[in-house]
Amino acid sequence: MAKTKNNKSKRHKKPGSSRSQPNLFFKWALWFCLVFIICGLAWVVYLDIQVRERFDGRKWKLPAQVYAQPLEIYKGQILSLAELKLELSILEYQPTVRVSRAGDVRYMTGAVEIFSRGFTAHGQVEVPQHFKVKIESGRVAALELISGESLNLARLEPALIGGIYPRLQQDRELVQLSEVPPLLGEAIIAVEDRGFIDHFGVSIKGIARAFVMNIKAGRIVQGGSTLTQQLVKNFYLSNRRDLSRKLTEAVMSVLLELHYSKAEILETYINEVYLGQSGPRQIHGFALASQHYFKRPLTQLQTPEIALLVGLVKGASYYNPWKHPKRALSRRATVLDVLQEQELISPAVAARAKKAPLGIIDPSERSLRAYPAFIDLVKRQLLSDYSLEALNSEGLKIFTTLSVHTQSIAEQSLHSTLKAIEVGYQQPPNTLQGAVAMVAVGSGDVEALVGDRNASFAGFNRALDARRQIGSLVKPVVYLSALSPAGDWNLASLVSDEKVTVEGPAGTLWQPQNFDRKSHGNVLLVDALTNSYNQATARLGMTVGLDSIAQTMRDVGMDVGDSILPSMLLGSAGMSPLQVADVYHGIANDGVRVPLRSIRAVEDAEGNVLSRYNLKLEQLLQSDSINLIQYALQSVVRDGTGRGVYQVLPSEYNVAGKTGTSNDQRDSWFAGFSGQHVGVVWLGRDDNAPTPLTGSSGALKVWRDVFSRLSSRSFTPVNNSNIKYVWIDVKTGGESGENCKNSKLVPFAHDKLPTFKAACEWRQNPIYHWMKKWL
Amino acid sequence: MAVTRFSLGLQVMLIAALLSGCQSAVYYDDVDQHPSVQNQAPPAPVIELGSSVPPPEPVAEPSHSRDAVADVMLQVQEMLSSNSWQQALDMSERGLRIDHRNGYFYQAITEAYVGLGMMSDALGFAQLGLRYCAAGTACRAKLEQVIGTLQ
Repeated sequence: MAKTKNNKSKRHKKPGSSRSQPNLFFKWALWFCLVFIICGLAWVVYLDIQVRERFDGRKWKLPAQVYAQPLEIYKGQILSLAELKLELSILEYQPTVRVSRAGDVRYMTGAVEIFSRGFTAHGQVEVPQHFKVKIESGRVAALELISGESLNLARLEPALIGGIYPRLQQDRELVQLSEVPPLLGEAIIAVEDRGFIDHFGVSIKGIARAFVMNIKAGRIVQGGSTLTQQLVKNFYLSNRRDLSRKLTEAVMSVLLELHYSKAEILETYINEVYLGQSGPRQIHGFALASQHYFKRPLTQLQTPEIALLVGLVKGASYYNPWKHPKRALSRRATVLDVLQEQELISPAVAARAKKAPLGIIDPSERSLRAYPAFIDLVKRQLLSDYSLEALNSEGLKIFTTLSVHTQSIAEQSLHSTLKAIEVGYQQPPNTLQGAVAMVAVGSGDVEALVGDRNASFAGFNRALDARRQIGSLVKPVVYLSALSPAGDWNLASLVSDEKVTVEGPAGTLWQPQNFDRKSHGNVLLVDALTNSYNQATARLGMTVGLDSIAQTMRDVGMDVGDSILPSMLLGSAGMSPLQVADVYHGIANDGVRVPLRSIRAVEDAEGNVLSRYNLKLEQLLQSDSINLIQYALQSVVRDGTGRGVYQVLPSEYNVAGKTGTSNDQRDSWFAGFSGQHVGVVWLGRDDNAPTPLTGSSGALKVWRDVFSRLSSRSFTPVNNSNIKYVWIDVKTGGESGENCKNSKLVPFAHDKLPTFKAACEWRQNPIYHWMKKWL
Repeated sequence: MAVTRFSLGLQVMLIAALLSGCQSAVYYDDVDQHPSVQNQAPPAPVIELGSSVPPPEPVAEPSHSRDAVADVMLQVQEMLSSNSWQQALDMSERGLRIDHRNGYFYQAITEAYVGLGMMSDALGFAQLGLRYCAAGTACRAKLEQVIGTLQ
């Protein structure tokens, strides 16, 4: 019974369930649709938020832009025509026969007519000026406005020298639509998306047309993406190619069109699109691409150049005009055909444009903005005040101390001299490396930094990171300590250069030897430094005391550490070229130590000054002993180990410096200064193997090449009433006279004059000598 | 003497010319094996005969660029008198780039730092300025006054 009932109930249920099943299905379908719609809507809302968030906010990570120092021009300034031309060329001044607008320049014999652009940098405003610079004998002889008024001081705008990039190294120069040549905007639309003005983000017609074309061709020959879709793809999405991404792209494109005007979308596209590669740096946007390919601002581009850039949108790598000029020409012709077809240009213009050369710059000019060693220094100094994220994303403007012409000279000198040295010493090519640091005397501005013989190579930065034994470069510091007011020494004091033995810890013996393995008996202090005698220096250092010497080393900026050993007297300490430049800058700057600077100021993207790096004072060294060391270092280059300098430099050009060679000639150094620049050069091998070079046969040659080409003031001793010049006898150090044999004029601190008179053997009849004064 | 120097000058030139001609073969080392160049000591300032030598003449660096220096000084003065301390600092630095031994610019930097309330910087530059402001000058008097006040 129960069974029957059961069967009945089953039978009864069947018709009932068959009736309710469609209902349930619809119900479920309805629910599914509802959930789908809700999810879809949520997804659209999510995409909408994404679209607006990025578009309304900061669109791109903008790398910090790094600028060189502006070139000051004033009457009386030491400046060569070549340096001025180089600066103007880097700033892309256009040579012309009639100077009429900012950015024009006219070169004449011995003179240059310039219409400067004017600029605002960290609160300083420089208005555009039309002036003429006359250069005679490497000096600005006249500076006047074209209107005839006198001009005492002029400045050229600072050159953009590079950037601090995010990981992907995207670089771009932002441009507003109003600054874009009309033909460029029209050409982009004509070539990439003719229906741009009419569609709503997605073009059904375009997709259909592409679909038919691709079916006919049997492969993908045409894309159906609109300009808006291309922007969405580049701006928001990855490069993944699947249906879901396509759908996302379409929805986001519609949303973008809903919220923003066509003009805003086109402007963003113009700034976003990828147009090439410069090493690891990606070139985005037409403004930067214009500089990259033509070294000209976008506004100055002509029809063929615009067509080439528009053509690159399809494939910047495939149509790379340097690597594939034929492809690039063909692509440019296609674009020009489209422009003509769309009546944007006349057939005559199109024909002329097709015949024009590509007009791209020489590949060698592309590396002009590569100053990796200097930018590295800037970045390190900035990281104490700014986060890396801020540096590579907020579009900061960094105004630095780099002098483009000093940098250029330093790079060329290192490269060419190293090559010549390798040939001269029959070394395998490219085995020697080098670094150069150039600092302006007074301000401590780092004007140039070269960290590799191939200056544009951004690898190990030897100028900052190669800590190599400095050898005899340390000697001036040892002598400075001896000459300090607390000591009894003067430049004419005698010191023994006989063999010296110093007992070290655990009975070890230190027995330094002279480079020539000879002893030179008793020598004047000034001669011991001039000739870089190791034995005399070691003896002097031990007499003065290691603690005193170590303190002087600290005073001049050396990192001595805790282990004070006799070997430090001969430069066993490892230092980088920039650290050495810091020490020698203090000596060149009359004992005034200022922190070396690579940055003058930082601005945000809107031009508000965020930081200033004013001139600061670190320490004042005792000026009398510094003046004596300055004299001795001049003696080094006139009479001593550095006299190779005057094989090239004119004798009336006063410089001072010191050679340095480490054990087994692993390191070749030269550090020296003029009245305006300190230069430090290091040469050696990365594997620290011995080289055939000493300081004078290696680094000195690079140094003198730099200083022979660089406009720089001659060194003159400062007026110091505490310093007296006295004729002394070079053998005994006793007081002598101008007309005595073997005499020379040496400066003394007024309280440390020679204590005895030397015998005088006249080298000229004293009466005639006396009469000469009156003749 | 003049004759002696002239002939030595010629010798130096000859040696230099010979050495530069053989540059690929002859390299200077840190050894005392080069032809000695006598009486080529660093040029000293104007001197008298005998052992008593007067101090060097004041450095005449800005003679070529005095117009530019004067222009900058004028602008610095205006900035200081309008309490535009930072501008005065910037402009003084420009001046020092033309003539880094010009005492006035150190005095101006001192005043600007005082204006900015950065007294320890002001004191440092005042002491430095003394090196370049000769005794009896207004520049020196002003710096001494600042040092007296700050110390």
